[in-house]
Amino acid sequence: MFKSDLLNPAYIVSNEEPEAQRPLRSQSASGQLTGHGPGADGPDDRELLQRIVAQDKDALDILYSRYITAVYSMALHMLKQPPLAEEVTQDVFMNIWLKAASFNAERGQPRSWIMSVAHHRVIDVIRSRRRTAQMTDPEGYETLERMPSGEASVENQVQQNLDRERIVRALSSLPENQKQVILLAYFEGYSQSEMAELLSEPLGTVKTRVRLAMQKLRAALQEDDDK
Amino acid sequence: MTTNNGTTRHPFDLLEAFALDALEPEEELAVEVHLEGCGVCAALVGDNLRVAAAMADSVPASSPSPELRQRLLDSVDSIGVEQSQLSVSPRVRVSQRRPSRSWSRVSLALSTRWTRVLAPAIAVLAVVAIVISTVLNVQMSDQMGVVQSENTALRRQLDQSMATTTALASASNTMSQMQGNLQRWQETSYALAQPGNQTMVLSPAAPGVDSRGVLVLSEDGREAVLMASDLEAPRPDSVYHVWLTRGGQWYWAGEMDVDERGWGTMPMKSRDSLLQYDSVQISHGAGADAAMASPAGSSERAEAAAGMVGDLVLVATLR
Repeated sequence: MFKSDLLNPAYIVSNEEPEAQRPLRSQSASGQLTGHGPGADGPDDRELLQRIVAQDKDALDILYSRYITAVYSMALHMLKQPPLAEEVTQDVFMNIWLKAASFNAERGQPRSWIMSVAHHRVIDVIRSRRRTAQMTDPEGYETLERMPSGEASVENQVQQNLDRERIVRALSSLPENQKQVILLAYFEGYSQSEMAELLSEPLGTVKTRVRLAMQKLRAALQEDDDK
Repeated sequence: MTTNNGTTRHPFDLLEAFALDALEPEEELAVEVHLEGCGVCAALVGDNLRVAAAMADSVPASSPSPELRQRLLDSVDSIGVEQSQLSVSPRVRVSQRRPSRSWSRVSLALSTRWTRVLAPAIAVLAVVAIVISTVLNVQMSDQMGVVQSENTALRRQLDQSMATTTALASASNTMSQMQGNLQRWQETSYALAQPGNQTMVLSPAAPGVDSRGVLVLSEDGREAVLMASDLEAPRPDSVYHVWLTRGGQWYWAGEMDVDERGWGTMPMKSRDSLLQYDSVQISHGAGADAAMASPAGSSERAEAAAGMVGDLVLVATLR
């Protein structure tokens, strides 16, 4: 990957995709939101986490079904290599199994915590690899090795598409320089200092952009919730 | 997070980056420690983590191989076995041990004609064995107690180490800030001491504003130092921005650091003379980047800037 690629956030998230790939990418990587929200069937995520604390393997199995698509899709998108993404995904669910007791409802919803655990683990791998070698970016892996998600129901697929549209729309509304830093941070694992160096911008400017971008995304998502 | 005068400072400016995993390790540690005791920041982090989690929805969906589920459950099983072995105390394990083959041999002996001769001896041996076992168990319990107290002591030491690390990280941040401030003051003092400087007074931009400020311009107008006092301390979600205006359009000039006393300073450098602009203004708000992202000089940019500028605080006419 070249530095010039990193400076172009469009390569990370784009609404424009080849027509031929649409069937493979027709649903979002959402964690099947309808499966654990209010009124959904089955136990909610908080209950599942409590049961996991009590070493209930069935609860982990249900949580796995709900979040595997979201966790694995993020890992694959960021790491680019399916075997590595699977390994990391397994680590993530093992961490959830071992550390479910550390979930703190004060810091948000279970979904936020689960995705945070996943993101943290993926970022660890990315930074560790960046220290040792450049990441490989095999061409064509999407069509050859990426499998479409087959676990979601039609209702969930619809919900996932809505979720994806919602966040893509919110990201698209950001000024380019704010979108750039937020994508570099979230999907490429760059710290604010690293971004300042990469973009040749003052650290304060990068910090301001990150803050403003997050505030705008938060407002946009809240606005959607209120509708 | 603690300030020099011992009061708690909320790390509001770090919470968004914390949710994105974009902080430096020492900053992340400091935020983690702070969150343990601050519900306000924990709630804000919750909001930011929700945004970060939503970011994951933007990637195309994929599924791993079906075998992954079984591999995970197998791993859980293997860990479960290890944990159950670790969680059984030595004493319990001894008591639950199945009879060994030597016990079978004793049973066989009891059925022989030597039973009557050996029985008392075996009974004595059994009593002795029970006594020894009891003593050993007591010793083992004592040792367990010692191990537990050592464990507690180690945990305490670990907590102290964590606190020390956090304090060091905080001290390191403070040192960096002090170095930055010192350098800024050197530059400012140097600029202020130049002959031929012009001084312009900034006036309150609205009734009720008690702030004051001056702009010291170099002779050619390309360098300046902006200083303001009696400003309100910045709110958690906002900053002070400096703007230059010309022909009704707004240009973001930078963010002014304002300390807890309401004192702010910002050195300014420009390729062109600042005297080409109509005015310099200081506002309290957020969103300067939105204005900067619009095409230079466009009406959209002017509209964006006007919409994001926030509350105007001080203004000075430049020409």
